[in-house]
Amino acid sequence: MVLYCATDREIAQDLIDQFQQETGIHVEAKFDTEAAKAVGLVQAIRQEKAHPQCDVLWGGGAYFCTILANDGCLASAPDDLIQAEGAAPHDSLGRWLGFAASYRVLIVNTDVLAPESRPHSYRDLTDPRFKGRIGIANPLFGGMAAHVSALFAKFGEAQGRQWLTDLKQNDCALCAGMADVKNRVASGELWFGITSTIDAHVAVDAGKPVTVIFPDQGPGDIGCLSGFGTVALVAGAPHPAEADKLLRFLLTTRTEKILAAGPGQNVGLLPESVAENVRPAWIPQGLKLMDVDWDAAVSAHPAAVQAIKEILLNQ
Amino acid sequence: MKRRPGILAVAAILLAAAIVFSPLVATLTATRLHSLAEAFHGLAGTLGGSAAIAGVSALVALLLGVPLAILVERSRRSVNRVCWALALAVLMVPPYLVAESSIVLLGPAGRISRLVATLLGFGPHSTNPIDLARFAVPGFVYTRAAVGMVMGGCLFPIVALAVASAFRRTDLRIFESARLAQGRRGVFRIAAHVLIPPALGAALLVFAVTLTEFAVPQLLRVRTIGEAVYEQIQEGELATAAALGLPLLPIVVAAGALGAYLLARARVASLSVLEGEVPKYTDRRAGARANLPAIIMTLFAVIPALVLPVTSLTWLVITAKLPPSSSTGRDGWPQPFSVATAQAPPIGTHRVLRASGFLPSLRGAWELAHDDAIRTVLLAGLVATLATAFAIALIRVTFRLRWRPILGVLGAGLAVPAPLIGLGLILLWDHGWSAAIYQGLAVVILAWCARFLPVAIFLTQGALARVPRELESAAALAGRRPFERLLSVVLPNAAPGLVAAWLAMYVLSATEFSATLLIAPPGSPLLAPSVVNLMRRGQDPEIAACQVLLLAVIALPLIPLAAARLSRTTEWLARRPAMPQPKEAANARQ
Repeated sequence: MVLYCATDREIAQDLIDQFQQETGIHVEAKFDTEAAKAVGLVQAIRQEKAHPQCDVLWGGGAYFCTILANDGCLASAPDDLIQAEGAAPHDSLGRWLGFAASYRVLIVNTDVLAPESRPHSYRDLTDPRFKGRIGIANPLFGGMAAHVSALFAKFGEAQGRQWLTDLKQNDCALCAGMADVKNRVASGELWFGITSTIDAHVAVDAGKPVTVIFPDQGPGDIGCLSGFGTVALVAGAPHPAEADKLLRFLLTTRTEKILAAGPGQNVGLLPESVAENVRPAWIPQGLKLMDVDWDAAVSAHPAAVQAIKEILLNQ
Repeated sequence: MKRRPGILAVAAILLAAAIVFSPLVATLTATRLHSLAEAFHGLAGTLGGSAAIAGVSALVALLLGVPLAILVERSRRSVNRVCWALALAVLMVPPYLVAESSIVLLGPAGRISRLVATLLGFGPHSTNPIDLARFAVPGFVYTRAAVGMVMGGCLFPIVALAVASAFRRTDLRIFESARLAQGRRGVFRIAAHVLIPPALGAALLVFAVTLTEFAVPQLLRVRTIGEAVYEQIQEGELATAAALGLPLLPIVVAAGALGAYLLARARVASLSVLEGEVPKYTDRRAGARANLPAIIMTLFAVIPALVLPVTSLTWLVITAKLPPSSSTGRDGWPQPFSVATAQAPPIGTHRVLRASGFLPSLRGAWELAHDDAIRTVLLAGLVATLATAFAIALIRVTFRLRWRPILGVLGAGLAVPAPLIGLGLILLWDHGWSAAIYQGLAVVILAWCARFLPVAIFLTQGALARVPRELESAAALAGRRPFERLLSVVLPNAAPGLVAAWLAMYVLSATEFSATLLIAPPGSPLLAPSVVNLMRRGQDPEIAACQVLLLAVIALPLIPLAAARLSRTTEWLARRPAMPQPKEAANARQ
């Protein structure tokens, strides 16, 4: 069977090997890179729609999976798998199923910001105290595009544009990706920025002078944006039976435990994982999460892109 | 009989055009082309900025490449080889690594820039650790000029190769005559006449390659037309994405055609090398005294694309040691890998690169990617061989008909953004009848040829133009057939230039990832995408290990080549007779 894997190879390879050992099914995997932005495997699946080569897409996130689903590139998962998701995020038709959460957090350089002056909200990116020393990934692409679209969907276009305008006035750096944000904050070039828990953990684990803040946890705050892994069956896939087995292998608490212990540092989302509290110890329990309607986020995307171009890129 | 070369030439040109342009045409016709005006709205500045970056890149390549070629060509043979080895090593370093190292060393928080600024007295006048940590150097790393400098610094060997090729095939007596007639001014005038055309042709090639670069401008936070193309692809608007690249095509076509035309016109072939007794032009500082300027110029030229990345990498390697895990890490963090469950994960440990230092990380990277590395070396070698052989055939058949300037049009292929090539190939080959090609490595060969065949053609043209026509005519008079003449006369004489073309094709292919990522068959990953993937979550030891692995694999074919050249040099030094100095030769003739 063929797996298109937008999840990092470092995270995914052992699980793929284990699946092969357990089932005897040979998996031919194709991996993505962050540098390709969203023009990697997602676009390959789009272009292969007439003659699908891929059986399962692992990764890509809810945002790009919703786009693929709306394009008719994804098939519904079996009902029992959809039901087994419980409260875990998933497409209502089961065209993508979510598991293994990560979060969009603030990564802060501890050498330049004392504890009392550190930011605590996405809104702090617009605080003049930090002018010229803040960064986000280029919001035209990848995860940050999804993030901005989610904000537009939640707060409306007017507030979204205002946030972008404030970012512009605060000389926010548009970095090449979330890993780039992490690197620049760790070096002290930027004081803080938005990145994922996966990237933030890399810097913390390496002993860089950074700390992670889960933003907007106070009363009335919007909460931290949660990303999560997704798996999806490709419509018209050549090996549906094998694809089904891989989905059942991935969507288990055992897999989520492995992902939590590995470099992905994910938090379990499946019902049994939630009951067992599968999470890396450093990620706090009871996080307040932003409520995102990913269908609405996809709908808000054109307005968000237009605003990004006009406001951040002067186009 | 006379029609046969014409048919062959047309067939060869059409084949080359199909290889280079078919993905673009496929993407142009993939989706309905609508709202083109809207797509271009507000992009005038971006287009202009992209052109400015490409202009800076070409200028930097000229400023580094031309003097380097002239000075190194005038140096002694042993110095010449070392200098060229260093200059060509620049081509092995992917530009995105150069950009990253420029940020690490010269950026606002750069290791060098901050140190220099502090030494110059611009540092914070405070002992407060926070003030010290906040000190940043306002620099130019995040500017268009910096993007151009990085790209020009990486691509200057193309200019240097073209200039050196012209220099070598020039009858050196004309310099001697010019010096006798007009002194140094005369030498400059002749040099300008001989060297400017190939230098400009190669600089235009650099201009074209820079136009569609995506990774470097992204890293240096500069918006280019390449980013707009990516954006349209993300939206699924392939035709619009392809259309955005169209304004670049005429520029590159003009550049390529001009380059090919200039290259053809600038041919100053001579038999002087064979005559042996003609004293070589030595200028006033020739011989051993020419070595120092050559070495200085080479060291200066390789600073951006070789010295900076190597310095950055060395720093990483030396400091690449992770702190030991503790139950509470910095800032009160708990042990990062612990899982808040009672049971340990039931299946094996993660095969991650993360380890205690550089060497374990390198071993981990090799374990994960050694199949990818071997596959990449073999495939890139095959592509380089096929492309160079095809370029030789193409140039030979078009040469007879004086159609070579047409080949400049193929240079437009360099203006096609890499993802469009990948997606175009999916559209072209993902069908039932072509499954064997699309599902195998053949599609990767097509992608790399589509991206870089124009480079192979350009460099091969220069190499073949170096061969004196008189030699081939003599072989023809001696009864040698065309293929025999090619094997016994043309290829041996053009060998250095052809090797350069092969190497350029090999290195560019082996480091390509934007198109490769899209079309590499599942289960057969290739090294560049794998390394970029592994570096994504990299800590210092892993990043250093991945960079070393990539550079080592790219350099692999150079080792036997360098060994062969070194043994030839040693042999030559042992056998060579004492060279007469110009005055001695003149006395002897008298």
